[in-house]
Amino acid sequence: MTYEQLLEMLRDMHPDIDFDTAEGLIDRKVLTSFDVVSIAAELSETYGVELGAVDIVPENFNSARALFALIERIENE
Amino acid sequence: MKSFLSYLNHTADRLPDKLAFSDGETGLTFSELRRAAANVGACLMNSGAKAEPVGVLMERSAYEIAAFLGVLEAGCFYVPLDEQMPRERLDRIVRALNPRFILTDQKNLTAAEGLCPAAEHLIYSRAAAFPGPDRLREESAEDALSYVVFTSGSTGEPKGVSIRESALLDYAATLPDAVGFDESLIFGIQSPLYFDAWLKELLGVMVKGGTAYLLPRELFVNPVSLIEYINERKINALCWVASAFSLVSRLRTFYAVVPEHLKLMCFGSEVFPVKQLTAWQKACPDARIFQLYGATECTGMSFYHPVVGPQAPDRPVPVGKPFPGTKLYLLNDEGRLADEGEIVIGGPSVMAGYYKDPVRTAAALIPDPADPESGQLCYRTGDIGRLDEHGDLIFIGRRDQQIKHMGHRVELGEIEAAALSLKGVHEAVCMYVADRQRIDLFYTGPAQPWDLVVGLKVKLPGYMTPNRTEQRAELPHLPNGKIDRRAIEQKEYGK
Repeated sequence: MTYEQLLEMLRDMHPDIDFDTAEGLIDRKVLTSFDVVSIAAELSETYGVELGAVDIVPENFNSARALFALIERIENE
Repeated sequence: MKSFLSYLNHTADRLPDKLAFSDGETGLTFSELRRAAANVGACLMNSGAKAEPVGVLMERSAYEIAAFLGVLEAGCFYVPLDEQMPRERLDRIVRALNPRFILTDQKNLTAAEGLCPAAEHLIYSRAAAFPGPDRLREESAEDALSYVVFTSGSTGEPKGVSIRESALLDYAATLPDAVGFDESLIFGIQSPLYFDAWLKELLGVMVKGGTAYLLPRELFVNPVSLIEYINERKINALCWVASAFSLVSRLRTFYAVVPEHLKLMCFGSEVFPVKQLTAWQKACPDARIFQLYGATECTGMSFYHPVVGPQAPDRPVPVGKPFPGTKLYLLNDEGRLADEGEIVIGGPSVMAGYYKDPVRTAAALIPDPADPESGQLCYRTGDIGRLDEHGDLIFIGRRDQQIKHMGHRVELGEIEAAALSLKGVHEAVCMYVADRQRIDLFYTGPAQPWDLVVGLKVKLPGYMTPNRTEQRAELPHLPNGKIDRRAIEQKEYGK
């Protein structure tokens, strides 16, 4: 999965947010718990990226870059 | 009539120093809760409040619960307002109520004053320090209202469901025994306090002497921490919407941590996918599990069904049998009693009506189908159901465009009405994609999708904003001019 694909997926969910620059997505409550579930489901169904329970922490979802770093980590495992 | 608060008198006499509610930071014991409610009630009465709506705009906290009970002590009815509600919705609610009194806290005072400048604003901390009586009142007026909560309305105007205190008393007499609440239970409250869903935990605490923690919202984006929080506090009873349970199991939380103390799980308001239900059953083999079903218009839940053993994936979990005193009718399209049809609920739990809205009240409440002369009114849920071979009610679907999304009741029409009120939107239609739990909005007009996303955020609660917004050159129509939803379904989803 590429960073651009991730951005596109996130934009589909929230077209009003510039995910390339936005920070604190969880801390500022831009993304809800249900968004996190949707993201995890979409990553798994469309890209075969399986997030583990311990990966679901705010730090990994606060920005698109943090999330992409997590995805790269999982893909390289 | 005995008062709802008499339960708290009784429990506070019995367990004065036991923790009743905690929000993690502040906890109130039963005697402290009674003291706070008595003082808030006395303060309101001293200010001249009498059998009228009192808005409560406070942080979700143990104090907010004491404020609700204080409003009842004053013989008034509470109307929860919430900082998370969008401004336009709050304005509509305040317009419908025109309250003379608002209970608020320091954090929300400015917002409360802006929202309702004409009202008298009472700060909770001061009201709770007002010298009140030692005991709460034991008697209530027969027709007293206890609260008004607002739900989604298809025209865009939210409906104020008005619940009598007698209905709350009926709930207190039925639900706790039906699902086996007792003093040993420690609840974790998932729901916001501005709906009626948390009444289940309120009853577990007030009637049976249990304890309840308000779970911090942010834990739900961190399911491992959520379960750890639950374990640390020995929380053993969860009454959540099915989507909150599903959220935890779908993220494979149980590979890392499982709830260690769980004795009771109640879910309701929506279908619990069998795969996720099974995951919870495996993780918590000692928990008793209940499916509940009901309507805000009937004071929360009215039906219950124990879920025992493996569930067949192709068979819906029944919503079960009514609480004692609750009547169930199934009406066909001609309004006659049938084996399958619209679920109509009767009994003491039925609402007084929609607040100051006789037209929509008359559409929702009908004379008792089995005894039209009795003067008793029953509520048409708009849900379709049938009875199975065991006499258990099975939920089949809706007869209109109302959906359940993330545990919330949503009228797609309200979203459409909000979209149509935006500049540059000519036509709008909302579709619910059930298997992906997604709300899609299709529209015509020059407005850009971004304009709708931003515009709708101001008008609608977060759970009602569409997950996908798509512009179309045109939308298909039926011969009568209405938008053809079936054609959209076929075109957009290939169904």
